[in-house]
Amino acid sequence: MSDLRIQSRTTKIFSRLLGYGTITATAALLFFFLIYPVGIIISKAFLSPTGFTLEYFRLLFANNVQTTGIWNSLLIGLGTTFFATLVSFPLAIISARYEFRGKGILSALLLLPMVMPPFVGAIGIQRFFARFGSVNIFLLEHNIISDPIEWLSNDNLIWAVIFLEVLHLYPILYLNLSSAFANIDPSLEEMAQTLGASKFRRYWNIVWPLARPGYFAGAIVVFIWSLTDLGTPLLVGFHNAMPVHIFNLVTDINENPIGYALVFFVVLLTVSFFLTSKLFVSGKKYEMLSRGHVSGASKQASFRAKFLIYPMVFGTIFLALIPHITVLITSLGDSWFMTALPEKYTLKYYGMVFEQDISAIGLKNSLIFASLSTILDLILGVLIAFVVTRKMIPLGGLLDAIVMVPLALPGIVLAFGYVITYSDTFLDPLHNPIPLLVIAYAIRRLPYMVRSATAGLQQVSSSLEEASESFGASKWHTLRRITLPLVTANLIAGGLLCFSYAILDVSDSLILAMKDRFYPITKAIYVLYLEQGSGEFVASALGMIAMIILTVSILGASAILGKKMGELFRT
Amino acid sequence: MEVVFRNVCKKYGSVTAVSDLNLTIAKGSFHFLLGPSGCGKTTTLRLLAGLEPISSGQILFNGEDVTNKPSSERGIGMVFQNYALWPHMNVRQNIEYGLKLRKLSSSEIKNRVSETMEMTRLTRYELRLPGQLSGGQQQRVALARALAIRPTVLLLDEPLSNLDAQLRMEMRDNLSRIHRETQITTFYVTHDQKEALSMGTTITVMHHGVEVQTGTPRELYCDPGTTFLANFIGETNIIRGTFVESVGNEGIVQTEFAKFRSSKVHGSFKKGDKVNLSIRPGDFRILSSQTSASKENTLSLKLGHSTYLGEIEQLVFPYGEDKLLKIDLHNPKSQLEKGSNIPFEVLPEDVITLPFEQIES
Repeated sequence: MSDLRIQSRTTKIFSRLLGYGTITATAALLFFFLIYPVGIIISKAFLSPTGFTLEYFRLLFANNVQTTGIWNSLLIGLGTTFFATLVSFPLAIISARYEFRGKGILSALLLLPMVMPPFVGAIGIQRFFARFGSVNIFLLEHNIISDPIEWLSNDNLIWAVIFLEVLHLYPILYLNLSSAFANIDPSLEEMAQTLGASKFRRYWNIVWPLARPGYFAGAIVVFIWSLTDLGTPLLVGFHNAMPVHIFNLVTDINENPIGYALVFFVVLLTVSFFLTSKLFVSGKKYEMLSRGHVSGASKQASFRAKFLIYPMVFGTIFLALIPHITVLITSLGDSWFMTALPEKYTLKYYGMVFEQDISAIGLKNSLIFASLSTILDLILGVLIAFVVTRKMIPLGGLLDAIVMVPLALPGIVLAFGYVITYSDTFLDPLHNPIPLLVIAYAIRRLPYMVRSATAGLQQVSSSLEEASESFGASKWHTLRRITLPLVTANLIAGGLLCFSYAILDVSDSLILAMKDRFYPITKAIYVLYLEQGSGEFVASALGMIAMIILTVSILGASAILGKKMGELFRT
Repeated sequence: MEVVFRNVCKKYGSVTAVSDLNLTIAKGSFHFLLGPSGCGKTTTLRLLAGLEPISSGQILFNGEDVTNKPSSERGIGMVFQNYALWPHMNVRQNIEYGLKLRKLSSSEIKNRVSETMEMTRLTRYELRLPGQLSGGQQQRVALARALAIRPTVLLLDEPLSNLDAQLRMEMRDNLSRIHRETQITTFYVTHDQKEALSMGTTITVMHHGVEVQTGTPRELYCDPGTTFLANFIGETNIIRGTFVESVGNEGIVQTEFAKFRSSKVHGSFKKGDKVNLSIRPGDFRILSSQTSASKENTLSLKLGHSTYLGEIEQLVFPYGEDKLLKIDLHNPKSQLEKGSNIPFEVLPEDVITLPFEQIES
C-alpha cells in the first residue's frame, strides 16, 4: 500500500518534471530564438537613438522602390494562392472521389513538387525561356516565329515567379483539401441527393462548408510562403520583391534603418493574415458524426471520367516538373550553346560538384546541419507531443499553439532577427553561423515534428501504457518498448520532412552563412549560379543532387503517412 | 405508393450483390428487408433510392418505371444508418433543406417544419447543431428530415443500430406510431429480427443477394420454407433425417433418435431422400410416462444439462456425435435430474420438413 503510494508519487513527480522540463526548454528556445529576435526588430523599428520614432516607416513608404516591392510581393502571394487553388481543387476531388489505375503512385508524384526547390527550377526556366533559350531557338528553327519572344521580359518576370511558386506550393492545398474531402461522409451528400439537390448545390451547400476550414488552413500557408519566399524571385531575377529588399538591407542595416521598418511590416502582414484565417476557421471545425459504411466514398472512375482524370493528373505532374526537367537537362548538357537541346550529354558537372570546394562543402554542410536540426526536432517534438497528449501539465494546449507559430513566421524575418540580435555576440554568424543555422532550421520545422508525433501518440491509447505498467514495467521501459515502437512510423515521416525542408531552406542559409566554408547547399547553388563559365551547370548538377535526396525522403514520408500527411501542413 | 422490383440484378464487377429480385411492396405497408450482414439488403435499398444504378431489371413506382430516374426525382425520404446529418446546419436547417429545394412558400415551409418537429418531438432542439444532440435525438432529426418532404416512400437503413437497447425499444414504438399516423409506404432494412417481427406488416428475408421468402411475420416464423430461414428467425432445432413416406399431406421422417410425422412439408420427397426437420425448442411437451421408441413424434433422451431462467428452463440433450437437441420447458416446477431419460412428444404441425441443406455456422 505505502509502496504503491510512493511509486505513484515518484511517477507523478517524474511526469511533472518531464512536463515542466520540456516546457522550460521549449520556452527558452522559443524565447531566445523566436520572440526575442522579433522583439528586437520591433523595438529597432520604432526606436531611433533619440527615442520613439515613426520616421523609418515614413521613409519606407515614401520610397517608391520599397512600396512597389510590397505590392509586387502581395501580388505574388495572392496570385500564387489563387492559381494553386485552381490547380489543387479538381485534383483533390479526384483523389477523394475516384479510384483508378496507378492512383497510388500518381498521388505520390503529385506531392513531389513540394520538396522540389523552386529556386533551383528558376535556373532551368531561365535557360529555357531566355531570349535565346531553348524554347525560342526551337520555335525559330521551325519557322514558327521570326523574332525571339521575350518570355522573361521585365513585365513577365513576376509571372515566372508566380508560376514557379504555384507549381511548388499547390501540393499543400491539395493535401489539405483532399483530406478534408475524404473526411466528409459520403452519405451526407447522398442525403442531399435524395432530397433533390443538384450536383452543384451539393458541393455548395454541403461539401464546401465542411471542407472550408481545411482549405483556409492550407491557403494561409501557401500565401505566407509565397509572399516571403526569397530564393525564387532572387534566382528568377525579379529583384523588386519584398524579400529581396530585406535580403539586400541586411548587409547595410547600420546605415539604412528602414530595413527594420520593412521587416516589422512583414511581421504585421503575416500575423494579421494568419489571425484572419484563424478567425475563418475557428469554431467551424465540425465534428463528423459517426461514420457509416463508406461504400461510395470513392468509386471506380468511369471510362469517360478517366478521359478527364488522366490528362489532368499527368498534366499537373508534367507542368510541375518542367522546371526540374529543365534543370536536369542543363546539368547534363555538354558545352551547350545556342541549340534547343544540348548536342552532347555529359556527367562531368556532377564530377565537378565533388571537386569544387563550394559545392562539395555545401553538400556536406547541408547534410550535417540538416541532420543536427532534425535530431533537435525529434527530441523536442517527441517531448512536446508526449507532454501535450498525455496531459502532463495544465495548459498543454497553449504549448501546442505556441509551437505552431513558426509555421506562420517567415524565415526571412527570423534570419534578419538573428543577424541584428546576435551580431557581436558569441553566436555571431559572421564568426560561426552553425549554431544559429541549426537552430533556425530546427525551429522553423518543429511544427511538422510536433504534428506528426502528436498524431502518432493520439493513436496510442494511454491504456496500452497502463497495461504495460500493470505488469511492473517502469515508465521509461514502457516508453521505450511500447509507446515509441508504435509511433516510429510517424517519427520517421516527421523527421524526413524536417530534414527535407532544412536542406531546402533558402532565407536562413543565404542570410546567415556569410563565409564560404559555412555555405549550405542552397547558398552554394546561388553563388555558383552567379559565377561565369560553368557555374550555371555545376549549380544545376548540385541542384539535381539535392532534388534526388529530397525526392527519396518525401516519397518515403508519404508512403508512411499516406493521407495523414496533409495534417502536417495546417496552421 | 406501390413499389415493385422486377427481375432486379446488381453486379459490382464479377460480384453479384442482388440477383433477380422480384418484390412487391404494397401501398401503405411497413415492409422489412431482413438478412444477415452482407446479404445485399442495403444495396437493395440504395437501388430503390436511386443511389446506385441497377445492372438489369426494373423498379416501378405505382406502375411507372423509375429505373432511370435520378434519386432526386423519385421523391423518396431516406434515413441513413449513420443519420447523415449535416454537421454545419442546425436541426431546423437540416429539416427544411429538402423543403427549400422544392421552392415551397416560406409559410408552407414553416408549417411543415413545425409539424414534423412536433411529430418527432424535436421542437425544443430546433436551434441545436447535430453534434450537440444525443444519439436518439439525432436519429429523430434524420427521420424528421426525411418525413418533412412528405415522401412517396420512406427508406430506413438500419436506423436503430447505433442506439442502445433501451432507446431502441422506445424508437421502435415511435416508428410504429409515425407509420400509423402518416400511412407512408415504408421500406426498412435491418438485420435485427425482433425489429422486423414486431413492426413489419410484411418481411422479405434475403440471403446471399437472393430473396429467401416474403410473408407476414407470423408466416415466416411458424412456417419457414428453408432451413436457413428456420434457423435465421427465432431459435430452432435442425435435425437431419431420412424421408420415409408421404401420408396424405403429411410426411414421415426417420431421425437417429425418433420417427416424426410432419404436417408442414416443403418440397416433394421420395423414400430415402435426406431432409432437415425444424422443431422449435418451445414446441416439445414433457410426457408423464416413458414411451416406446417406435411411437411417432415421441422421444426419450438423456438430459445433458439445464439452465434455469425462471419462467423457462432450457434443457440440452446430446445425441449422435456432438449434436444437441434444445428443449424449453415453460413454468418448470420440479428439478429434472441430469443424466436421466426424459420422454417428450411434439405435434405434427410443429414439425417442419425442409429440403436438406448444410447449416452455416
